[in-house]
Amino acid sequence: MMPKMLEVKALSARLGQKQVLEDLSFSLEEGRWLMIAGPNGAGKSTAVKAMTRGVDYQGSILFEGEDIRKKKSAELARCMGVLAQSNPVSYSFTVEEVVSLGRYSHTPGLFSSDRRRAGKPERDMVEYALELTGMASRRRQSVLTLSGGELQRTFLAQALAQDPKLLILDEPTNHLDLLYQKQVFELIGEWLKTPGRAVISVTHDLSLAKAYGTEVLLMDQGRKAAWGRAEEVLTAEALKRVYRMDVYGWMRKMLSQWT
Amino acid sequence: MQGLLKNPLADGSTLGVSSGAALGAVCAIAFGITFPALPFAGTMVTAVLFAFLSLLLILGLAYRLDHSLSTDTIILIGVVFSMFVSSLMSIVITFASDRIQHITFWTMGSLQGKGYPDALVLLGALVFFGGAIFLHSRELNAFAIGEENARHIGVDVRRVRLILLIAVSGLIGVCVSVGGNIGFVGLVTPHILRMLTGPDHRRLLPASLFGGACFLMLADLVSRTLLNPRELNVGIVTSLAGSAVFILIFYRARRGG
Repeated sequence: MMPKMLEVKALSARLGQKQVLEDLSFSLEEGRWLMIAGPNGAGKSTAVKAMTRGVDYQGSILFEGEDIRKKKSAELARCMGVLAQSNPVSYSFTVEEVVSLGRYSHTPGLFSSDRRRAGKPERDMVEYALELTGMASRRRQSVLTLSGGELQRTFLAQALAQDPKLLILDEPTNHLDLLYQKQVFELIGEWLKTPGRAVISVTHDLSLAKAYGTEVLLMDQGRKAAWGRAEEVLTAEALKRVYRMDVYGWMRKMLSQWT
Repeated sequence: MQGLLKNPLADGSTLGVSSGAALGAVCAIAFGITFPALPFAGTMVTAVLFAFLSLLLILGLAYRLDHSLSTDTIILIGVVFSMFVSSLMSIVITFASDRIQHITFWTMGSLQGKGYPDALVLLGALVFFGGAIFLHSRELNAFAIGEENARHIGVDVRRVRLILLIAVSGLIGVCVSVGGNIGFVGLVTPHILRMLTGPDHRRLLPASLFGGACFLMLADLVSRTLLNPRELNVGIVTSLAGSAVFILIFYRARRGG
């Protein structure tokens, strides 16, 4: 049997004295889109950080059956691409320079990312990512002059250029207006159609989680509150328990403003 | 360093690393640490060692206070560290008052009486440490975009950072042991050149190398001619010019410019 794309077993992590993750286990197969939801401080972002070895953790994280701690940095980056929650920038790199760095793990040489020297497949990946995110027309622009949404799309393009098997998005629609929220989710849905790929995204938007997620991991205080298919997990009782409010009632009330 | 720390004000002199290296050199003179094989290796080795230790200490402290290693924290700690080092230096000088003339040279920075052997040593250090840094230009670019981002795209953050920190300390240590504490060249040059070359380190590093050398030569020229026949220490000239630019940069950064 093929090992699962991602398997997280008994994951625990501490930040200082605080236990932020406790005994978290879940797995993900290819072609799936896992939504991680839960209140602030539930440990969602820490779980994402652990998957990219950004925090020390106990337990194990296996990618295609292999412990990620045994992988080299570049090797891990070819498996997983990450869009961080925020990407503050302070030097005037161009959009294209940032996106091209996404190819780092594939071509570690000093000048291999240059437009002139890079092979066609290399340029094609960068081009594809720029086109897909709608940033192609702004390739020469300095990242310092971009709006929050454009910056977010630039770094999404970088993660796509990385050509990972698993794409991890930490609140991808954070800085985006409604139109781009829709576009980004549709674009990722399109990206996911190629076999051998999977997506994990952390989100606060339960409607988006329900609409696009094939499965949902609901977290509360560093623990797994529920995990399974979206419609099984996002029940009125489970949400009430985790969010300590009547989520269903609230959502309906919000929706009724539009009728 | 500005790239590695994603901090446009980072530099050996603002972080106190140069002062640390100078302290190392001063200690070597005051306590007579020498290596029999090479005449001036004593000051050099201690300078490199002290530069590296200073860098570790400053970054370690800054990291404990503020995990993002933000601009203000590092600069603040650098300033405090520089003061701490200068007081240590005073203590050392008190104990070795007979060599005081020799010691002030290191705190001021001067190219007086330096010849080709010194230039050769510098060249060697440049090829070795500078080469190590240049080979990591792409990683430096990634660091300049953000350390977290660097990790995400597959840079071995810990290893590369350690290599770069060692190389930087090596360079600063050797430079200080030859020329004393000549401040602000490393701060000002990349700033001006970044406007010309852009932030890509594959162009910025070589440009800064030549730009920095030109700046130092000009400063040296000024220091030798301005009060002719008396000669100023070149460190005074670079610090004067550098601090003016520093304030300008800080002012613009604060206004979001």
